[in-house]
Amino acid sequence: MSARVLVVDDASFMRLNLKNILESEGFEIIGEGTNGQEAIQLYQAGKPDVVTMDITMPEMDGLAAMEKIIEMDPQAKVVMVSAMGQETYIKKAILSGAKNFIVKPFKKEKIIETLNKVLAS
Amino acid sequence: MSNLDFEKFQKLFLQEANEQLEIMEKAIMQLEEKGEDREIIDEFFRMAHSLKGSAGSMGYTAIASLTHEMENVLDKLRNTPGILNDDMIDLLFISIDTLKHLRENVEKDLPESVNPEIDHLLQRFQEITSPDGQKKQKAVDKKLYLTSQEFKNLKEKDQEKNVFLLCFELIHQQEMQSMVAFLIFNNLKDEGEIIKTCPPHLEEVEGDLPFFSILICTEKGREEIGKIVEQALDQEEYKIFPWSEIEKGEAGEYCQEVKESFARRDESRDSIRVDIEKVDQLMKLVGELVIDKERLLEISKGIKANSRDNPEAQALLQTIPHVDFIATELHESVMDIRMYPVGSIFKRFPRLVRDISRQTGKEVHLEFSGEDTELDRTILQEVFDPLVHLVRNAIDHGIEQPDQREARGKTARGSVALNAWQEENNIVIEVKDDGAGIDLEKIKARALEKNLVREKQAEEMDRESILELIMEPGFSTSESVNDLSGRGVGMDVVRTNIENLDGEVEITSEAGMGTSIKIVLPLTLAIVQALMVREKGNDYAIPLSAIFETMAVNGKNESDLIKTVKNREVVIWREQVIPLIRLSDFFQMGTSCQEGFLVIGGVKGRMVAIMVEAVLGEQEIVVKSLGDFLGKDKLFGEIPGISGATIKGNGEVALILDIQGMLKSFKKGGDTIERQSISC
Repeated sequence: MSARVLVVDDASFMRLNLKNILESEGFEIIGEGTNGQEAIQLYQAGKPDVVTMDITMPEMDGLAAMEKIIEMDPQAKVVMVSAMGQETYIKKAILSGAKNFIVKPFKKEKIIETLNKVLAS
Repeated sequence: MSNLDFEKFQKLFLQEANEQLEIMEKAIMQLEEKGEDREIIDEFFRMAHSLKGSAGSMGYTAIASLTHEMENVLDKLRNTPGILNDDMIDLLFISIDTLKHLRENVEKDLPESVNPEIDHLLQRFQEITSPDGQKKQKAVDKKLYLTSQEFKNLKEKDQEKNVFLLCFELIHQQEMQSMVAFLIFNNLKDEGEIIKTCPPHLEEVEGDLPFFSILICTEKGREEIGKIVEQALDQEEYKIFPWSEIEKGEAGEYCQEVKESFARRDESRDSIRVDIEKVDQLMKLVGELVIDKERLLEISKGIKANSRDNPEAQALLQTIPHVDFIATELHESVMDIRMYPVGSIFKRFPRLVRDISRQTGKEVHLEFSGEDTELDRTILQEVFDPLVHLVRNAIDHGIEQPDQREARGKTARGSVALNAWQEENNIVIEVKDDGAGIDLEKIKARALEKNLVREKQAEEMDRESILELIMEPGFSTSESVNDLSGRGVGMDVVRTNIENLDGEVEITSEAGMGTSIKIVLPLTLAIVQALMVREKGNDYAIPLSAIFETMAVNGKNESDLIKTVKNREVVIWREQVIPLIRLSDFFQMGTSCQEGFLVIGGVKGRMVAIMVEAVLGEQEIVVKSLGDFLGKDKLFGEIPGISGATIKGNGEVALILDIQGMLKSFKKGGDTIERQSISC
């Protein structure tokens, strides 16, 4: 059974990039969110196995969205996607329950490896 | 380690690091002077090594890695003779400075951050130590240091739970490595108790972190812990050691036991370290005790007269002298604790002199004498900065360039001497150079230019007064302002600082021969022996150190003793003519008595006779300040002739006479003595 992924990022380029990489490795993309609010709605509707969550987004940022998602589902697996230099946010995310993080720009292998590790746990 | 333990160890660490750094600094200077010397290198190595060990066990990574690299270089020096060069010496000097800085950060509770400066230093060391000078990866001290006590505790913990050491080497992740560490730390935190990490405060590190380790005590097994780690990392990126392996030393590369007694043992001296605040507190209490003791002595006089038949009173009378004796002894002992050899500050000078002479291109030889002379520790600390200033001045303004010196028939290398000795109740510290001396004419010209004196005044001034001009605020003869001195804030600050300690600055100088500046300091500030005198019903204390003799004056000998010269009363004493000050006149308390006592006193060769009604006897007095409003730099200013107050045995206040101040104000006033109305 292929793992079901929710991709959240405000940049369409990033979403496309992630979608291509993941689908080529057999992941199923169950939705694409462009901000935190959408992420929460899509999570409730689709119950994905894992979420890739951008940090800086309009309306509601990734951190707040992740916290809400974990509140609804303590078992939720969220991987933060962040740019270099966002250590403070990553730390907060880890403390709030993020399972791992990916640094942009990322390599294909790194994404797959990270998601597989998180899914296996 | 509990917080309390940590603080205790930290204090110890700081003290020792200080000593170790001093020895290391001295060693570099010796290496620079003598060239490669096996013994010096060995000593240096030992110091670097023990500093590394203690820094490591306290978790001060930057200090540990820097000393680690120093050790490598020193080791290389030992093994390949002939490679010592100026670059290496400079590098070692810079490292010592950096280590001092890092130590200060620890002291101030600032984070001991691994900054680029240290990275750069580490790299320079590695360029020396790696075989073909090739650049290695940043050296990281991978060891987690455990004290023997911690080692023992962990062994016990491992009986009930599991103790694991996890060592991580990040191969795949190159970006934000510290975040990986944070993630792992955070995940493991929920699984047990994290005992220690390398680097310490792992969760606060930012940036590159190719290696880190975590020591954890947990109920989980090896596999379970492994699984948690592998949520974030690959198998090949970490190693896990159970306690049994650590104990057998199989994790030796990553974990080391260090002896807790990182104190440098000096078998010949049996001593303990005590916080100076505790000694100060003790001193204060002894001061109070001395006051009470004097009061008891006073009371006992009354009892003696009234109660010969009362056995209890007699017993009390027998006890009081003993209390007197004990209090005095106690006072002396506490004083002794506070005394510290001047050498302890002298030894900070060789480095300073080396640096200044390098900057100025002058050759300077530094000499010491009287390093064992002891001074109250509080005073000693305050004296350091003024001394630094004087030594800078001596080199910068005093010592000439080598070619100039040779042209004047002197050795190319100038000499600066720091001398110390005791002179009665004073300690003298002298900074003496054999440089150009102070040009009196230049000083006069400068003082005129700066409007510090009027022309007529300047012509009449004697040598001593001219030299004293350089300590006037706003005076500076340096033609150019440079890094070292000559900013015009110099000598007056020195004088102010020293005067705040009740000390004095004396300058003597001879053109072409050199300059000597003496700092004269009181042995201690707190308790002194004094002669109690009485005038118009008020008691005054005169410090015994300033008194030579007392004589009774009565109708018979008055005319022999007291003469009038140029409308001024003088006393002929041991064939000297000395001015007479009548205490009543000085403080404007009415007509002076005709019969009474002459107290002959003097400071620094200037004598004075003080006429008082009665001499009451000697007493130990505790010097108290005049409060918040009276005195130098205070609201109502200084009172000429009064240096402080003390509490007498009967609880009343007595003023302490300041002979020097009296002389000054007497001299200033000329024929009409400047007076101030004062009474208790």
